[in-house]
Amino acid sequence: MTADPVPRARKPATAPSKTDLDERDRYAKLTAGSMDTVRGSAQTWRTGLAAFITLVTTGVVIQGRDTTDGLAEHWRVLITVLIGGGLLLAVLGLWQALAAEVGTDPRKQTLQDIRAVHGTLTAYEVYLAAQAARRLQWGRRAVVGAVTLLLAGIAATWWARAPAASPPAYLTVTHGHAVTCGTPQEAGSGQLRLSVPGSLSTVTIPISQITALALTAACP
Amino acid sequence: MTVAATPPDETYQESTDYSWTEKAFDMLKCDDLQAEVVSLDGVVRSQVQGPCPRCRHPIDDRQTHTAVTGLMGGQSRGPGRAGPDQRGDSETGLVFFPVDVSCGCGDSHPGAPAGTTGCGVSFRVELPLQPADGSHQ
Repeated sequence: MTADPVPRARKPATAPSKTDLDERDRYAKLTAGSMDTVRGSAQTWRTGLAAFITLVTTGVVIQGRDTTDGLAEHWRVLITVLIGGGLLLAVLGLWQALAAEVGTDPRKQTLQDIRAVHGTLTAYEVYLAAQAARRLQWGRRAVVGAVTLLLAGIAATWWARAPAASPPAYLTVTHGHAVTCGTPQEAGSGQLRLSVPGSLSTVTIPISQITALALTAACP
Repeated sequence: MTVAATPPDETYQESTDYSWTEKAFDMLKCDDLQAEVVSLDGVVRSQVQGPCPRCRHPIDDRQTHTAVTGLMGGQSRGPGRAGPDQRGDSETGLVFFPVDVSCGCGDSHPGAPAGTTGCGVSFRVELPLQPADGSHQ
């Protein structure tokens, strides 16, 4: 004779009290409402996230390149990665919230299938709710990551340095009674060629006519 | 000629007396009552089937013991691990799970409040919590 490896039951120390039975009935309602709880929460997160992504994306689009235009390249790359990564994580979070709310894997199942695996329909609903809650939790984690990256991106714009200013590169040339200001260009021997800001053409001046030369930061 | 052995209708009487819990335990021991508590992916369910210890009418009690509750700081609440009511058996290492069952035989017993079925008795069984793979009926 072999002993039953798993005892069927153990004798309870007490009988259920009226309070135990009331709590059992209340808990059954909580169990039945599991899916609604998760869906309600997912819906709130989805709405909030959609608004958040819209706000951030609109801000980025409106700002355009203004924020990063004057920044050094490595700062521009860093800010792009932070803000882009933040937006990507926010979209992932939104996807997870949507998946928790409406599901992503529709399939046909008979009640028998469900009973065979989960025992009861309520247990199956709780299983689905737990799965959805797990997705929602990942969504929330993604949101935390998104906000962190976006804030880091914003902070980076405050601290980012502009590239070092270029040295004065304009030349003011006095030749005869005229003064020409522009950027020196390659020219033939005995000549000086200047590209004048605001003009498409260049001015060629014979060096013999030049009476004065001066470096300047800007042309008048 | 044979007559179907239908148990006579007991009068309705709400009772949680310990004697019903003891009787249910005896019925479990002799397989008169079948019961199981199964955990699948953290969702715990129970089923108790057989005659009611008092009225002998057939009962089929199915309960889910896990709920997804407030979603901050966790997902589901249920007997995932032994708590005060799920004392582990020191010899077998099993976690026993208490299930409170009320007679839900579906019959309206004499003297029962309107719309109430069952004979009114409630009892407790303590069953080993089993993973779904090792479930048996």
